Amino acid sequence: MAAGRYLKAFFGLFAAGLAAVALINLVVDPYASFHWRDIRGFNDQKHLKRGGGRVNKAVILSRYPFDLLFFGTSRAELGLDPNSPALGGVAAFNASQAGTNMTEIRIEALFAARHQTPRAIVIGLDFIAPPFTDDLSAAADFPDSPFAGRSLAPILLERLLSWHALVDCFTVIGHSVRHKPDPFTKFGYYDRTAVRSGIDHRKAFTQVLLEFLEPRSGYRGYVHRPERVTQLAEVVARYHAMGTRVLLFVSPVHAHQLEAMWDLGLFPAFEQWKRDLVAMAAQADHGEGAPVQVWDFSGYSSITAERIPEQSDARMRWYWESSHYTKDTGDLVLARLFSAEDRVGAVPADFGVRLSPDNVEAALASIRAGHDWYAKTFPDEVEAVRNLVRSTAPR
Amino acid sequence: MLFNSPLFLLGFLPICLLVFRLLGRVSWTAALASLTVASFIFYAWWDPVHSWPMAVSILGNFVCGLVLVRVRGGRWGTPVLALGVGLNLAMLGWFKYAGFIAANLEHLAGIRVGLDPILLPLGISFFTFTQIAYLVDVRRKVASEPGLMNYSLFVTFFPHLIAGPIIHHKEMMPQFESRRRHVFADDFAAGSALFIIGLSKKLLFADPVAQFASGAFVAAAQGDPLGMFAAWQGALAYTVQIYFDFSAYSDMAVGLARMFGIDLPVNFNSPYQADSIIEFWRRWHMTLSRFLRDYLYVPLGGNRHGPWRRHLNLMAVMLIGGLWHGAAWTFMVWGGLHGLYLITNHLWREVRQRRGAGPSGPLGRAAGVAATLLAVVVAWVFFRATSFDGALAMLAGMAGLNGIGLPTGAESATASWQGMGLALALLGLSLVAPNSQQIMRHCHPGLAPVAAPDRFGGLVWQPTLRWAAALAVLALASTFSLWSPTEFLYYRF
Repeated sequence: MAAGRYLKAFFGLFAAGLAAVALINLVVDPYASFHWRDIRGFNDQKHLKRGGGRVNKAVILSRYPFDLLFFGTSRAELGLDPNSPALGGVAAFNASQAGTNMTEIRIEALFAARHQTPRAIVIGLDFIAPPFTDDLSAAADFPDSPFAGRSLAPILLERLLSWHALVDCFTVIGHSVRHKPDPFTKFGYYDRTAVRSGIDHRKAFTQVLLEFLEPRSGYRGYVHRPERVTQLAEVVARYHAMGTRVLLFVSPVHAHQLEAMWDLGLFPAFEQWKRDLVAMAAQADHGEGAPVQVWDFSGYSSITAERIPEQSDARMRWYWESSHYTKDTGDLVLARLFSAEDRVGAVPADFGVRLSPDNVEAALASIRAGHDWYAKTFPDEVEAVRNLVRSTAPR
Repeated sequence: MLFNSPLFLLGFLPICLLVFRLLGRVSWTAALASLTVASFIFYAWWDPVHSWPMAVSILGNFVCGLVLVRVRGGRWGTPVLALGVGLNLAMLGWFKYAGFIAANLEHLAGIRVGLDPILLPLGISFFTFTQIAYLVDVRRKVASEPGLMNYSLFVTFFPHLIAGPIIHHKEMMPQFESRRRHVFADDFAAGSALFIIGLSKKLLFADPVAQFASGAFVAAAQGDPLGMFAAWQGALAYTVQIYFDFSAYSDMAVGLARMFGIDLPVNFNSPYQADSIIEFWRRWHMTLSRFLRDYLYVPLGGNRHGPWRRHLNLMAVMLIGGLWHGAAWTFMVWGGLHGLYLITNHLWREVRQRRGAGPSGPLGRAAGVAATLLAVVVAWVFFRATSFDGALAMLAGMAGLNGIGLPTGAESATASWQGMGLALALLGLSLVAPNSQQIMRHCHPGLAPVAAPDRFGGLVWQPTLRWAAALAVLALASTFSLWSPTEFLYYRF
């Protein structure tokens, strides 16, 4: 065979192979990079984590318009379901990330604002959360994502012509055919119930709290940084100026978490942070558009004081562990934010309060009173947290 | 720019080939000029600001070569050569070794130099050695006066620029002056086949096994006691990683050059099939061995002054060879170990000769391969480790001082059946399979003739439909693995 014919055969076969794989990746689209519509039972169970959760979420945010966006940390990622009945079927996407901080949330939210104008955004706020840093060093796949300025073309090309996309195509088809839900849903929500491994809540509470009680990071390494609120203010101002309704809420951490903060003397800083949030929101309102709302779900309530079972196989309704709340709790949060109790049922009256400059002090005082109530009602739990705090104290 | 990056494969290379092909129809010189420009762009892509050392080096050596051509017959020949070589070494020393020397001065003598970190120009070890060889060849009257463009292309020709092969002026200039072959399709078919073989070695073998090497070395560096299994897995995985990584680069370099109608010297000849360390160094990084032999070992006296002097020269050459790879004591130890191995090998040969022993039989040869491989693997531990302590911790693990530590249910990168299996499979492949140039031998890859392999002699590339299909599959598999390109190990040297 002459070299010319050989080359034609080689490039012909190579191109055919590329086209075939690209077609499979395009049709199945395991990361929802090319089209939003799916065929139920064929490719509806996407897998957003493979290839980088941030990469995939950034691609989705830059390609598809949504009515409602969620931002936040892993608490919001696990708790806020864009298909929650509280939302009444609006097109929503959960852009929250695990292991993030306000520095990254700001970048991601501003990125989203450059690509779409949602009717509302919801930002789940944590006083402090892993990885306990203010830089982007822990945001593993951030540098590879369009959030960090990477252009879309090479990412889409990769999604057409890569092994992992092809392998994930077959995973997606397999899961879709069997109607097996994937935890990393197309809507950006992390469906913990789709994870097979069970959870021993009592152990998980201790484990997570220990993470927050590390000697030099977590609560003990807390440093007040006003830029956390300033960064948030920039996001709020941007969306507010676009006419987007902005709803902020303080995550409903379990009372265990509050007790640890109380024991470590962090409550004054926690309260000041809330005051700063309220002041920032008030400052952002210029009388035009819907007012910026700040909600606080972090008080002691019938939800946040949920009893922790001792049996390893017993399931909690509202919490996975002290830091991450379940979708049921998330539904209540959303119902409260969007006044949608008619769609999800009654939200306990003690769960969530809208903060304003007028009521913030009273709300904070109520939480302080809640601490006394919790100590009286759950003395063993308070003692357990206190022991954990003591046992982890730096020597 | 990496050979295994989408930017290179989908942008840079096709454009270069197209321009080269079009200009080649006009004139060979114009085609070479396009290659020179492309090579500068290729290099500057890494960091345009920090590309000046290479430009300065090329201009300086070109001028030095011009002067040498004129004075080489007289008494100024040696001083000018010494000046040229000295300046090259000074430049290499500044960029590559100044930090190392400063750190050691501070550590050993308490003298604080206060040197800021210096960015190591990409490929400086390679382009410096290439040009030192050129100056020596000019002095020896085996290289003549080149034009600036051809000289620039000789140094910068992008297939070999970053990580070799280290080329000789006398091999390249005749090719630049007149085209060796005139059918572009023939060269492109052969070159692309070799390139794809190299690309797939990198992406399908070297990169996947890397994770099983790094776990053990990182753990050892952190002081974690390594079990025998984990340590051997790490050492063997690195042994195959570096072979498949570096030989992949060399295949790609030779293949790329061939696409442009230019032949480069081959750099690997199944080194792990060597039955002695002497043989190993004739098969591993062959152009570096050639350089060290011709420009260091022979000028030092080689074997012309008796066995002891030869051993001394060997040790000096291997220590310098070790240091050439990087400014660290671990590289020195690696070089020193190979020096010891070579001296031992020579002594063993002398003993055998004195006893009148004939050539080894199959069993003796197998024992030689096993012993050589074991010695090479042990030396690689120092080459890969980031510290002397880390290397010793690895060796302690390999010696079984921390128990065997078979993998349990939870597979980890440090100790896993998958990692050990992959490392052993690749090692087996490198021990029995024909190498790239043997597979390509009908189209004469590289500059030297290639012997047929001992096994699988029928595996010979030819422009057939079957090979087109096989290489298309390899190219597809490589393309699908292309998206997180990793640096070639030798880019760091």
